[in-house]
Amino acid sequence: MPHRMHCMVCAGTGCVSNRSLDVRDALEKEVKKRGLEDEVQVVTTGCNGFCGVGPLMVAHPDGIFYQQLTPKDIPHMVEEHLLKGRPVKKLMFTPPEAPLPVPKMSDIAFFSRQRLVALRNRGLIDPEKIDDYIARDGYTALAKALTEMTPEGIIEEIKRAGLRGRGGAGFTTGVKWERVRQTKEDPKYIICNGDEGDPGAFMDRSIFESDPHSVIEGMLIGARAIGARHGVIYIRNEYPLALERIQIAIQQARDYGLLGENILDSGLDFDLSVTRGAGAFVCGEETALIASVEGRLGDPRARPPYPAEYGLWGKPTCINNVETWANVSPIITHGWKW
Amino acid sequence: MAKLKLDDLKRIREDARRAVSLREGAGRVKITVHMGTCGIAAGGRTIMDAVMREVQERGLDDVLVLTSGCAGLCSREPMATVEVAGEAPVKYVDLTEGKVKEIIGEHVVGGKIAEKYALAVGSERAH
Repeated sequence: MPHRMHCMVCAGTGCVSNRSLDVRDALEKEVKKRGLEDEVQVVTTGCNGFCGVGPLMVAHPDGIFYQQLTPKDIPHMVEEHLLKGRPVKKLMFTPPEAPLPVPKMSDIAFFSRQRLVALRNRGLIDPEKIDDYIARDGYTALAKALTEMTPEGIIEEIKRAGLRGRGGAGFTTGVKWERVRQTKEDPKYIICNGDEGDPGAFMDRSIFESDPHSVIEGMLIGARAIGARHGVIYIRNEYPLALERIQIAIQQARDYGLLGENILDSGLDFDLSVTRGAGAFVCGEETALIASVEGRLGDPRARPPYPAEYGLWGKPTCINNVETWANVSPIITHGWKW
Repeated sequence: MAKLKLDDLKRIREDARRAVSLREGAGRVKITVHMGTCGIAAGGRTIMDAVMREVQERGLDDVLVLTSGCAGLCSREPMATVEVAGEAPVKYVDLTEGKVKEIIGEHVVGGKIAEKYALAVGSERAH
């Protein structure tokens, strides 16, 4: 039977370190104790970006936002809100400028002013369930790219959309893809740069933790456009949860045949491997990153030649940042004019 | 799991549509079962079960099922409120499982208020 309520417990690294998994366990236990397990579904999600007041939980369909939860808050919340439909004010967030708690996530200015593209599914799916991703139109952009678009058409779309490298340097993504495609040498590689060494920067981690399939789908579309059969996801070893979730996602995509041979009967063959970073800040630089993937010391080298001509194992290679890859699918779905 | 084909992607999406709309807080109809202490004592849980079963059996994926506290009319519990988007909410009283079936058939699916079980149309005003 479908549930009438979904309790989305935040399990990004921030909330997990504030013991959100204990809150989730307490919630599951209490829901069961009250006989509500057929009515209320408990879901663990990725980061909501408001770690300062974690552990967080959002209760749907009313979209009530709870903060700073502890396991001892749970029995009262379950009785009052989940059973009797009375959201608990003392667990809600009061913005500094507001006189009273704001019940709904969508009414809190921090959230309501966001327009989510790369993080379009954050908080709305369980990042460890591929079906949740598919439910929110996941892999439809891939289906479109494979069945309705040529590689050149995909590159043109990305170019015209004006997507630029989200790692910070801002190089035009479509131009980079085109250069790799046009380099007459095989095999070609694509790499996802998830080294994210800048102190206090957690955008890549957020994407991996809340929606890992968005990165995989972006890379699949890139593989089709560029003509690559193998991709590498390079991820900081300091991100154990992100690493775990991307590995789960890759395995699920393989099980569904979305990675491997003849993907969606299109003739596209593509698979991914994961390389853990070795804890060096410099490995976020592309030539150092390639050296690290090859098992060498993470020493950057002078360019040219650029990785587009001479990259991983000396072959044409396209490196994009995590967020850049996560932005690819929406562009393909909506078109560059969007 | 066998390799997915294009149709499989579509099927998974269709199956999960209800979960997606629920998380977006979107629904054509809201059914609110009154679950104050009085409502529960009068059998609100049985009514809730009946509502959820009926929604499931009819495959209504655009209906949200909610709970609320006491509306102040404890003698007429179990109660439920049906609100079709864009229309005034209707309160139904003295509910039984059989009445729930009829109300969902007539009002939620048929679009016509089940007047014989309705107490009032509209909400209390807050002063």
